[in-house]
Amino acid sequence: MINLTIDGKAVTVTAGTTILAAAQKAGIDIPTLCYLKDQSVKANCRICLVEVKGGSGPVPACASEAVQGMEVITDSAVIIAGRRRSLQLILTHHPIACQSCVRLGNSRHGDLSEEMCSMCFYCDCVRDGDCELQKLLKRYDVNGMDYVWAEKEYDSDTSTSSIVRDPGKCILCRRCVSACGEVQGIYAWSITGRGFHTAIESAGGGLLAESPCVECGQCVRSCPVGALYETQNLDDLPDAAQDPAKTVIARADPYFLKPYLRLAELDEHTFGDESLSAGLRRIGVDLVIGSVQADQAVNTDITAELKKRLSEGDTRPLLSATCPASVQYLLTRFPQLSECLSAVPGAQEQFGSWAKANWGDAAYTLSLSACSAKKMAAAESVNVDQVMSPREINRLFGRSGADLNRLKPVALDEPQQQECRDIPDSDCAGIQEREVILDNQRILIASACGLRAVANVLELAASGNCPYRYIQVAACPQGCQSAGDLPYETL
Amino acid sequence: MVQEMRIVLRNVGKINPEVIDDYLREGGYQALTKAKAMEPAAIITELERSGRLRGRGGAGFNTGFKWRSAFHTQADQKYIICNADEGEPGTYKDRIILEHDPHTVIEGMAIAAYAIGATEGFIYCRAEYSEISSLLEHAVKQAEEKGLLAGLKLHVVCGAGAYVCGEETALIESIEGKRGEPRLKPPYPTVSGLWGKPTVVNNVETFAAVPVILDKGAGWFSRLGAEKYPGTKIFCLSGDVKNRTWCEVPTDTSLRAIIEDIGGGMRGSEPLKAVQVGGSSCPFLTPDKLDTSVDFDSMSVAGAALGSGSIFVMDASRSMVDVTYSITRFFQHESCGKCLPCREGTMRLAALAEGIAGGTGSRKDLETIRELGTFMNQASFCPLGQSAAVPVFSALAQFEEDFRQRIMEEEGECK
Amino acid sequence: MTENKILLTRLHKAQERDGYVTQAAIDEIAGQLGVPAAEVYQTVSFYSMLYLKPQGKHLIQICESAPCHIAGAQAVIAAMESQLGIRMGETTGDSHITLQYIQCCGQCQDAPVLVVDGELMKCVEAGQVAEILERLK
Repeated sequence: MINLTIDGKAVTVTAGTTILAAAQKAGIDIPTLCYLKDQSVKANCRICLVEVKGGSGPVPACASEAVQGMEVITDSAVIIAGRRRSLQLILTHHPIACQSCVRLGNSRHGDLSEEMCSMCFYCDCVRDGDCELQKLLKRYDVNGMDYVWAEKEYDSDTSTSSIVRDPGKCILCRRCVSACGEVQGIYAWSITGRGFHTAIESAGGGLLAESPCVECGQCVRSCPVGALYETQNLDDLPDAAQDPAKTVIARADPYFLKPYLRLAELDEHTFGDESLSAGLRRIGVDLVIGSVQADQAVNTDITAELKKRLSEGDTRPLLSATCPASVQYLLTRFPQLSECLSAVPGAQEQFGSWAKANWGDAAYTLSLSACSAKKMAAAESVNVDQVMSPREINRLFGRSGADLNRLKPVALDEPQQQECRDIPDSDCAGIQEREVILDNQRILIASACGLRAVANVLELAASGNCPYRYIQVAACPQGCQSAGDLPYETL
Repeated sequence: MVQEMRIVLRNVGKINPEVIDDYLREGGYQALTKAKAMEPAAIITELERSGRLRGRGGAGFNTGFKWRSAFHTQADQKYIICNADEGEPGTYKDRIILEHDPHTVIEGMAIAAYAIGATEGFIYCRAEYSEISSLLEHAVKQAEEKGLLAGLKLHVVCGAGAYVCGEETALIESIEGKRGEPRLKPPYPTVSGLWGKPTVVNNVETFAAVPVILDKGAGWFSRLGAEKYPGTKIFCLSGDVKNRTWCEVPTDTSLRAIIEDIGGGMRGSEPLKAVQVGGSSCPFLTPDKLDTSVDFDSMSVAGAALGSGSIFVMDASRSMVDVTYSITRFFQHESCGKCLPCREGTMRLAALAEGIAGGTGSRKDLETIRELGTFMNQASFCPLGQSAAVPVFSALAQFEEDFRQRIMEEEGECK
Repeated sequence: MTENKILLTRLHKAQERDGYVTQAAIDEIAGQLGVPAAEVYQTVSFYSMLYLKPQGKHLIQICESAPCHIAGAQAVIAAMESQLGIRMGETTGDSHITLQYIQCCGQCQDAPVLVVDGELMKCVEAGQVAEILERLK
């Protein structure tokens, strides 16, 4: 065990712990920008620099191991000045729109009130101010407009259905490159150029849609600022809601509510589906269909498919088709396995086709999900008109005055949809296998979380020597709970 | 009159670098034979005893210490790398060594490889020295054919135009096929280097000295030159001297002696104004400091640096503003872009220097330069960013008049 | 064989063959080395002497580092720019000549230095520019 002091506070940690982690344990918040858990340490933003007594200069807390007897100072005048200087340099070419309040014209942190900002959405910040850079600017009282020198002007890349890249806002933390390469093994983002001309580009320098991207959204999830965000559309829903000929039918998937509540700073024990339903009705949704997690490990329809396969003697594995990013990955890398894909559509598609079947063209089907790839799936489907993320709903609620604190919860409409765990959850990325009994047969099934694991099982399936009869695949490293369009704990 | 002492350059003029037999005739590869009859640990001790042969690349790190660290790290594979990416402006000493005597470097690498237990090695040669890469490949082949490199496979890799690859971890990244961006240390390359294996990276001049040290003994070497930085050093002159040439002198020689005796003094009637020893990332020296001994520590005490051993001389006709601007452009071009302070800072420093050089700079700009430079010095990831502002500070401190003149000219004030 | 593992060596060969590193070469090399094409692309984009786009038929590189700068590189640069009608970093309209800055190439004893189509030219003066360009016609 290592004993050290941080800002005078004593803390004990195991060997190999970084100063950053030790500080966290001691309740001291050292700011970070490029650091993200589950990714290798980068230490390129230099925001987490701290002083160590007796050392030769500031060291990055994220990359420095705690040593017995270390005395760390995280908030000396020199350190604070360094952080302010780093932030100022980022601002020299950061979009002016991020630094000024449209209503006030020019804004200093002292002029803005949190309460006002939480009610006003004029600035159209794609993160609603929930931005790691903005948080640091406030914390260190760095006012953007003092430093903007020459905004970098770029066109946004809107070539995919689910992900938007705005290069002007990029702070070159490289989290997206790590998320896509190191974590997911896709390598759709690359770091190009050198020095001041360094930029993040999609592989090969073209549009994202031309790259190996399968729209899993992990890059969106990892971005600390508004350089990468989900495709947002706040106009179509109000239009449909106001159209008397349209019936707006919404369904939130089971992973939507928690991230939304966190964004809206609402307590998850006080607010549930029925509060969300009330908010949705407030913005013009006519029907809100609920969804619950089913108990079965495997969906009934899938079981039927599986049984049919086994009875036909087909030894190839059945692959779940409910994760659109995984399906996209399969179709582009392992097209020969498309026959193995289950015909059972995901819950979003089932919902959409049910609604269209019952209301025809009058239905405007709205799926609420934190999943990036579901936006891609909706774009390719006639049954789902729109997918909205927690951020989009938060902003739409804000603009419409749908304050869940004041709205009486409204019961959901029937029928309740069963969302089965066709998409696995996991604590960490990888492959898990288990045995199930089907028609008195013991069969091995597996679940793969994270695109690297998905790649592994697909390789296995393609090899002809796959021991699994059914494989559930999820592109996101911990399954849907780690989907692309939701806030992420960085430490 | 200073006398050269050619130890590293002992074979210059005596051998044809393309003919290995010439090198052998002058006693070449005997040190390697001697080394192979010794215990690896004993070789390292000898190197440490030689008054600690300190790296000749610029960082001055204790060579024996580096080898010992790699020696002690257990691994199934170890590597030896020669840093021939010489990119520091004003420096061409490694080119001189390799052009005249590639085998002394190869022999040094072979001895080092044996000492640490490396079976594979690389000579990372900057792309601009294309003829030297060919010469090196030819020399390696000749040595292999003679059976002199048994147990070691040496490869020559050409760089592709990146000064930052002179930093050892960036060099390793480059060989691995990646962007030449420095790595976090620790882990140090001697523990986890090329492809994660223990690796020793040394400069051309460092390796070149190894065969002689082993041959003549540590005691002999440690008695040459300065006490704490013994031996000889190769210096290359550029700028406003009569003879822009190179020399190898003991490390207790004075800077003045090199400039006057070897360099022939100033090229014209203008007196000496500034000398930048060690490359673009080093401070300037004023004429009153010319009697400083050129060893690592004395230079440091004088407020300068030995660095790579380049000696760039400027006469009174030169404006330090222009020289500084040129230097900031260099670092802007060569910053790898990984860390924020250097990526942004080198660009801003160049922009500010350009303004001042062009007569549109202000007094506030000088203040901004100082703050920015201090920040880069403290916060950058690697020595490039940390030292980029050093020459600027030095110029501002010692030649403030040059800067003030440019600013005053713009403001139209009387001097 | 370790030689075959070294990306830089393959990139130099590809550029020698095609004049620059083509997308096809990137894809081919990536496949051969078993690394993502994005990684090869990002490596190529990092180095000054590897090009992702075709350069002019002739490449004139002028050193702008401090020793060459004070030896008179600026005059050579001005002469080149004026006689070619382009600025540093640009290529002539007919793609005949590309002008580039290079950083110190280790020939400071003979500053100012030029590299023309890979060949070193030492102690260059502005007055020689016309002759140099003439030879490239």
